[in-house]
Amino acid sequence: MKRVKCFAEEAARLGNYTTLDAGPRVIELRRVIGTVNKCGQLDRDFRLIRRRRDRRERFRRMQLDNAALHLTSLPPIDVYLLAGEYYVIDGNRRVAAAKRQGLEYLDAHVVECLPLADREELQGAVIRRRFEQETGLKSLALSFERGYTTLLQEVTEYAPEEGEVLAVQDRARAWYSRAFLPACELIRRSPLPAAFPRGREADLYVMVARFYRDLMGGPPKDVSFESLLSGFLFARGIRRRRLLRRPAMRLLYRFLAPRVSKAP
Amino acid sequence: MRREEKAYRFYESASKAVRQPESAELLRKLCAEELRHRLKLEELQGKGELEPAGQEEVEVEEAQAGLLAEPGPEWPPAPEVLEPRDIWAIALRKERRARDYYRVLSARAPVAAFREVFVYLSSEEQRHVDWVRAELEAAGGTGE
Repeated sequence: MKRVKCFAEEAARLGNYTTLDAGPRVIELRRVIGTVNKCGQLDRDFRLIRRRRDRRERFRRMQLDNAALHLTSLPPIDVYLLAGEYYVIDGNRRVAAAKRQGLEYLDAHVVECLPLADREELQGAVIRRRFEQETGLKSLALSFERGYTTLLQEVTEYAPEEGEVLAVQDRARAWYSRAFLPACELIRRSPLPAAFPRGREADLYVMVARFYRDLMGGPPKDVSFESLLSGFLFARGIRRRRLLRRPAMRLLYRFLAPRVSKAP
Repeated sequence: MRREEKAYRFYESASKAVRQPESAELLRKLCAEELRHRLKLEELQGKGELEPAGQEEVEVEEAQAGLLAEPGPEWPPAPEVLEPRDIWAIALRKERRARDYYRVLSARAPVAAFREVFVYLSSEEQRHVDWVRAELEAAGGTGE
């Protein structure tokens, strides 16, 4: 029978580590794969391997099942985040109930564990945490965490509608919905994801933003993101794929296109 | 836009070819300026206020404006084989040509909005002429 992973064993492989409080978050249940306190006692579904059959345990399980069904009644669990996976400090039964009910997400208070040997990951996590604290935006994931510095600059310099004065976190939300998401949609439809498959859309947004910051101190104010993206694609020599560029399509077009008489 | 793109490519490769950091910095600045012009023109195109011109149309306009006085490729492809003075001399010639081209377009533009843009671009290219002339003279060339 497969058991959940044990935090102590996995952390020992990591070597010396430090912790960073990431605060309350919504986490994916499928990434909750281990426990801190009940090593060797839980199966993959977080059920006790040697189940207690007494009435008290059955009643507790039923209570949690009902709470999970109502979705809002499960209190947040406490977890460690280690190498992209969550280990339960407190709330093993709640995880079991959520899995029984087929939930996908769970509220949690997350503490991130970062290896001291990996300075880059440490710095990335600190930069990300600073971005989240200043903007309140926690759902923005980057594969390359140094990009959060650029995103923070973008948020700080974002100019909302004329006459509109916003607090920092409101400005961040406005930037996210009015500038960032539409830009990601344009990036999605562009050749960039194919040219840089390792990067998420947010990473590609950072790449474009950083290009203009390095070259001209920031993008010109009166230019749309569509033009900025086009300029970036040109500068990097990334061509938009046109259907008629392909030789087979060009040949087909030659036969199917109406012939125009050249007679005067 | 093609003109700006060719200028960008020339300055981009030239900035990697020169050894002096100040010259490389100015070439990067010119790179940024040409890209900025391209962005401005693309923005006008995106709003439907400007139609993209094919290469043939650009050359016809230049010929009519009397600007096609010199044969050969517009921007040499390989600045690595040129001396810095040669790079500045080519850049000066091209920037003057670009300035004159936009002056002609601004005189012919039927719409006030287009005229403003071309006047702006012409004044920008004049600024580039001044920068490049100063660099050429510092490198021992003549700005004539």
